[in-house]
Amino acid sequence: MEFSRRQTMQIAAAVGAAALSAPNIARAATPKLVVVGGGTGGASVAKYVAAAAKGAVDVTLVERNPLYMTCYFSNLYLGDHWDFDRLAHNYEAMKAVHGVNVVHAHAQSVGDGAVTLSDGSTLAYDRAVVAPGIDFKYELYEGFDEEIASTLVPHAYKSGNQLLLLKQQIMGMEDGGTVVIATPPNPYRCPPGPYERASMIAGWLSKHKPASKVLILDPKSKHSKQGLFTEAWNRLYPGMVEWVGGDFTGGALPVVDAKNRTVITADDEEFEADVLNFIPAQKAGQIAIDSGLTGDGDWASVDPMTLESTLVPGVHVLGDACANGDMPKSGFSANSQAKVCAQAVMAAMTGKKAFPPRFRNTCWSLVGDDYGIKVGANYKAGDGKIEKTDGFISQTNEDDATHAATAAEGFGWYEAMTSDIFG
Amino acid sequence: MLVALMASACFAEDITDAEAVLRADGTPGDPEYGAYLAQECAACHLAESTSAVPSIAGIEPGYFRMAMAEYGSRIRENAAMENVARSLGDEELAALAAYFATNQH
Ligand SMILES: Cc1cc2nc3c(=O)[nH]c(=O)nc-3n(C[C@H](O)[C@H](O)[C@H](O)COP(=O)(O)OP(=O)(O)OC[C@H]3O[C@@H](n4cnc5c(N)ncnc54)[C@H](O)[C@@H]3O)c2cc1C
Ligand code: HEC
Repeated sequence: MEFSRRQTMQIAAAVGAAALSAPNIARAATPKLVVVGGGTGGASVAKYVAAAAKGAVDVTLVERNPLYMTCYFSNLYLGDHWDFDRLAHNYEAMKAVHGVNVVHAHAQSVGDGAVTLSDGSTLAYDRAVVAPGIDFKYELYEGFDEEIASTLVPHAYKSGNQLLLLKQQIMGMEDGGTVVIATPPNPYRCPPGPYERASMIAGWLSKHKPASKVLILDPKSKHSKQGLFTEAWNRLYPGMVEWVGGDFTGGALPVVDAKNRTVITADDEEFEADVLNFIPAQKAGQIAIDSGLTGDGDWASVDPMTLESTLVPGVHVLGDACANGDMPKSGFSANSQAKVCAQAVMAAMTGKKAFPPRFRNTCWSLVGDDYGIKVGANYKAGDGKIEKTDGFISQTNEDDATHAATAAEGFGWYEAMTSDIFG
Repeated sequence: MLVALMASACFAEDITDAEAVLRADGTPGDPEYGAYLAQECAACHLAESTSAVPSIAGIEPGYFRMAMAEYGSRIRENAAMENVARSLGDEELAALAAYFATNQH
């Protein structure tokens, strides 16, 4: 394999220019890395840099919440396959084992060598990582905003309280009712997420309120793992799950009548729900936008060799907030990008040798009891973006043992992933 | 998986730990590169085995190379691990084996 020297040189060149122009290595004080966002991507970077640097880099993690609630497995909570409490992870090991300075605060902006917090104080950095996840494009919808989402019509797409609200609403619904899941347009966090959710809700309803229905309203004409989800719904929940795809919106985004839990399309078709889960269109977390990292677009463009912003030097962006090329926006992807970013940051800040970037994603979806499906791929740093090299997907007509093994693997992954980040 | 494990336990005799750390050209793999590659494994493998994902902590280099060859050739069938195996060439396998060799306890 001839890759290594050439690609290593490319990374060195990519980060070297910045490292040389900023005199961090020569400076007597320990160089400072500030990571904004202690979710899957940000916490992974903080941990991996701290572990590699062993004190040679001063790592600070800014996260507004005291606990991280994973979105992965939040659908399993809706289906009674996972406890709510087990979605929560704390920053104790981050502090005690890895020596990361964890600051629980809301960051307002990043740039010019400092992260500004909402109380006006600043944290100086030599290099920064921004991993704020997603925010929602409420501005595109009539009748829908954060207030409505947290009280009446949850999106439940950031885990936490809205997830509890959605479950309460489903549990309180009369048997025979309809749960409508309105899915977002591409690109969005976790492509199979809404369909795994439909499966988990249908599974719960089939046990507790079997006359009920799940209706998926989709602005897209096809969706992730479509053949596999459809096969599972027909087999496990016949007649219960309906998918309305393509141009149900008449090409434009729908209007939400939150009080009547009704979705109205551009050509005035109305879909009334007993429980409405409306998942809006998405963009990078607000701080990425406010810090000029997204330019005119919704996502931060990055150098695939290092995940460094193409717009703001010295600032890396990863996870859902970056324009991640062929990779889906997933926790697995964010963690994979974090490992590439961590060594690029180490190379820039300490001169440590960096190896060629490698990326991978694997997403398991639980669709019923002991019934899992999966999809995954490998990626490389391509020309200006992360490019897929090869991948796999579960087959239709797999036997029960394979479905059960895939489901079990998904549970194993959750334990490993959360321990890789927070352990 | 059990049958596959037993079968591979026999096959594993075929490649010694000393051979496992070598590239095809006979030079030793780079354990530092192996340590970088091993970060990827932590996304799915815990220090302890779970019901569907065995632990690879302290894995013997020869056994490791054999197992990867079996995923690569689909003697062992698991799409997720086959995907991992496909992404690792001779350089990477020797590096990982060299890294695992430094971690024997
Ligand atoms: C229903 C659902 C199911 C999913 N299932 C899977 C799955 O099975 N597998 C998988 O791999 N992925 C899954 N995902 C996707 C996964 O959750 C995300 O892709 C992943 O969390 C992205 O990581 P991130 O670090 O980019 O963002 P996040 O994990 O969202 O982290 C962002 C963090 O930044 C913090 N933050 C943001 N702005 C600021 C600020 N200004 N100041 C301070 N802190 C800030 C937030 O509080 C948050 O903790 C799922 C998602 C959903 C919604
Ligand atoms: C996407 C998840 C995933 C990743 C990433 C992953 N593995 Fe695995 N691995 C698995 C699963 C699942 C199995 C069990 C497969 C089976 O049933 O045969 C497994 C099995 C193995 C085995 C067989 C163990 C035994 O006891 O026989 C080895 C060896 C192994 N993996 C090594 C690795 C290495 C090395 C890496 C990193 C380069 C890695 N794996 C990355 C999921 C993963």
